[in-house]
Amino acid sequence: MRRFGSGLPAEARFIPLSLEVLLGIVLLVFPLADSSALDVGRVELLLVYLMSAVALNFVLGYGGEMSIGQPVLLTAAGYTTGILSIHMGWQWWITTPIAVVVSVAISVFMGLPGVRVRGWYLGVLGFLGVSLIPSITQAFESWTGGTTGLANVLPVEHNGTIAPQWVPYEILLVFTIVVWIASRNLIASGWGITLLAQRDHPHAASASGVNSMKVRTVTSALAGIPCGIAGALYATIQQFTSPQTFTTQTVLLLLGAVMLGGRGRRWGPVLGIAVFGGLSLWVGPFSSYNPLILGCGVVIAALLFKGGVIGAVETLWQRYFMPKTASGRMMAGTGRSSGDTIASIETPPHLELTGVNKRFGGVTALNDVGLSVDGGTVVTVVGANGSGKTTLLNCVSGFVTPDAGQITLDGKPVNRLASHRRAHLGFARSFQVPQLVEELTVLDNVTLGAYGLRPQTVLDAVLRTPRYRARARAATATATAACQMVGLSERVTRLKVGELPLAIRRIVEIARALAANASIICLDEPVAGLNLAEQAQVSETLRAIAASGRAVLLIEHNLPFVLSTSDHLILLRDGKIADSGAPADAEDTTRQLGAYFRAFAGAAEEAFDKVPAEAEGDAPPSRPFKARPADG
Amino acid sequence: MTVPTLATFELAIVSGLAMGCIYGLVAIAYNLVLAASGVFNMATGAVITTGVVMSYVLGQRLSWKVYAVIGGIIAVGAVTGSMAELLGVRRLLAGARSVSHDTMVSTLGLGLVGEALVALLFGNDIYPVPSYVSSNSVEVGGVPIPPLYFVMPAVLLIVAVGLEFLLRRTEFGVVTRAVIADPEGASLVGISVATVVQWSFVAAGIMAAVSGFLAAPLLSASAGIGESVTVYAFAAAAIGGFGSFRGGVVGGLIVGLVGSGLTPAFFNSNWSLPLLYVIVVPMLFFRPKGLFGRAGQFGSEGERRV
Repeated sequence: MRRFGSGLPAEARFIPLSLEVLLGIVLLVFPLADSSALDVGRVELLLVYLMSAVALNFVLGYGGEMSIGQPVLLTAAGYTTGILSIHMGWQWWITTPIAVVVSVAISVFMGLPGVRVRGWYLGVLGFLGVSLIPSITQAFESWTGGTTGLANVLPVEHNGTIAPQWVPYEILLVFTIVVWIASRNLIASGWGITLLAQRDHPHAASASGVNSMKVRTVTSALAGIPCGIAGALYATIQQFTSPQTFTTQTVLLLLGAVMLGGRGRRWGPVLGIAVFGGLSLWVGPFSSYNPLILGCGVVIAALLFKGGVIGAVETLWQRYFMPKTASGRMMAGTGRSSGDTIASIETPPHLELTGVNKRFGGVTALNDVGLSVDGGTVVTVVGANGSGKTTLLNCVSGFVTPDAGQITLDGKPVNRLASHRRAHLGFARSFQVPQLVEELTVLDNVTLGAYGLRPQTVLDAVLRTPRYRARARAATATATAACQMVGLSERVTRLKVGELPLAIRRIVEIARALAANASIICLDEPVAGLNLAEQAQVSETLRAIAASGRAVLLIEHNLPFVLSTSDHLILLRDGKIADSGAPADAEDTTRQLGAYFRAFAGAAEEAFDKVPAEAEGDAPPSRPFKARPADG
Repeated sequence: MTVPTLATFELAIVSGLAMGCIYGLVAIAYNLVLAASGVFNMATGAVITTGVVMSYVLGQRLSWKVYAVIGGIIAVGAVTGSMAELLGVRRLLAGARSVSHDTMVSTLGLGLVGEALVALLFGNDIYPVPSYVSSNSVEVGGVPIPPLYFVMPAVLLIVAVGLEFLLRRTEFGVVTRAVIADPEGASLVGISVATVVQWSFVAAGIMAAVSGFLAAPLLSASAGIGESVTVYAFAAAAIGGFGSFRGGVVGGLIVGLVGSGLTPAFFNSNWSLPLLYVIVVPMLFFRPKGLFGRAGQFGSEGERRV
């Protein structure tokens, strides 16, 4: 049976489970074999770093957000534990959960601007936050002990005496293993797919129903948990916490480790922390060579390894040990057979636009546009570049809010709804440049459609409850069915999108819309760059979709394709509807063709101007507006 | 909380504005590189540290004349700035589509290397740096003001006006503005974006090193001193609007006034940074473009791709 969730970690193929278990056992028994206090303390620090690096990898590697506030969280958790244990006399098992809550709250606050800004913005803010640690501890000196920090944090006790050193070590290790397994389960679930989609293509994610604000907030909150545990336990173990324990250098250590090991790779943090942590312990954490080596390592990691060491090994592994995919025969795996029917929907939708206006600065992109799309039909909007086609689509799918006018679905206005809310009502769309996660398989990309509407709860995913399994099975089944409907063979669904040609990527986007069980499917130039055979295939697929009762709103330049596919044509010129009618109507067709040619005349002239003089006599027959009038 | 007298109030404002000029200068250095290349140069702190330390080494240990020291500082800034570009950024800018994360990490690493090198060569001791102008205060309206405080606004003014002139009135400026507005379009019409990026790093390096020199008498020379300036300059750039020169100046003055002037004078200097942070986070949430930044530029709404 297929593994649950996604095919995310390709690394799993060369890092066997046995290695994971072996590493765990070595760490478990290590303090019994070597009881030197110094070494145990060092490994404890490495475990704290590892937990934080796993958190950083989660937000940076999978979430794509430069959230580097981990030292703040570690310090806050440490002080929470310290203050509660000194002032209240509470034991570690009470203080640690409270510290986690504090850490989560700070993490969410620090991630707050991430809702609006991305990239280095968040990184700068995180750095600013880390630089605040000394000031804040000094500002609250009576509570935090100022620069000297808090001593006499209560240790782990057993029957009223201090437990032997291996006890807190094993507690820390158990929590590290729990964090490791939880993060693995979460990444392998629908959350992994959702995060990657949001990281690489936020628009596609929200068009598939992903509430990006919620996902970001949950991501920040989750990333606070490991740091909270690690910071609290480390303060308990050390019986001490200070503003110098975790500093801006810790940021560098964690960032460097995640980048060097491989961000967005499960084993990346382990490898990176082993290298950097080991080096740092070898030269001594307070040696002035430590930052020098660390800095060089970080620069090398950023410059040389895109996917880190794990990514590099992955590439080599794929080159030498994986079966080659014959890209020439790619299309052989696609094509609908007559048996593949598209599941029909119960109530055909009715989409209506009335008086839609949109201005960008001084440009009127849409001017009093009104149209309606019924279930069971393909409605195509044609028009020259800049006539407002894409703006129209953006208005329908919720990426642009019209200045005036109504957009209603089955009589209910949807104007004010965000795109992810519209996805839940049955809207789906494709993009001019397909927005798919390249490192995921076709099936996983299609699964996003299912998960966008019915996300798994974090707890279910982490614990792998029966409900999680049922939902994962359902999502996979939905996606598989959607792939079948558009004619993607099982072999193709297992390939990574990065290996696929454009034609198949466009079909995958259609499959994603079907997996979301969309009733209104908007497609932005679905056959741009496709050859005639591929165009015919897309045309047939779209007809089948319409036959299932769904509504298709199409934007397209390609006239033969448009005429063979559409039930209704709308000509947009300078943001206004210039003409509309059915292509089947012979009289209409002639009239409309005239209109198209007038609309395209400018563009066509321009195009022919660019053809070299000697080639002008025999323009390629594939040029649609050249070939067509000869037929008619 | 101390009861403010008029004199301490005025002195706080003056000293805050003076430090604000330093932050503004560094914020402009950030924004210049950011505008030209989309890179947030995290190595700037190390360049400032180098500027501070070199002004001590050249001026005190080697007893150079002030003008020679300034020349040396400018050279050091240009060299370190271009090294940041050469080692940390060039390779990445040539390759990827979105470089925001990678360049941040690489310049962060370079900054750490730079600071570590300074610490290794210079040691971890703190040396006071005497003022490069007379240290006898000038009475203005009954408030004794160190002449140092007049130099900083003057330099900021010269840099701001000079940059404005360079960008508006020269051919190089036109080319640079084209790159700032639309790097892809600029490279299509034959402008070498890489050259403009290199010059922006050199100019930003000089600004950072000079700001280190200017602030040296207030900060004292020690390894790692640059970070204390960059943190305020981040806030300045964020409040003023990333990528905007005018924003850098105004943001710098605001941050200086609040963070280095009024808060330490009447409250407690430990509250300066937390206060600025609490201003900056909601600011970025509600108005990502800052006071003067343009919407959609440099990651404020859409991530800039180079």
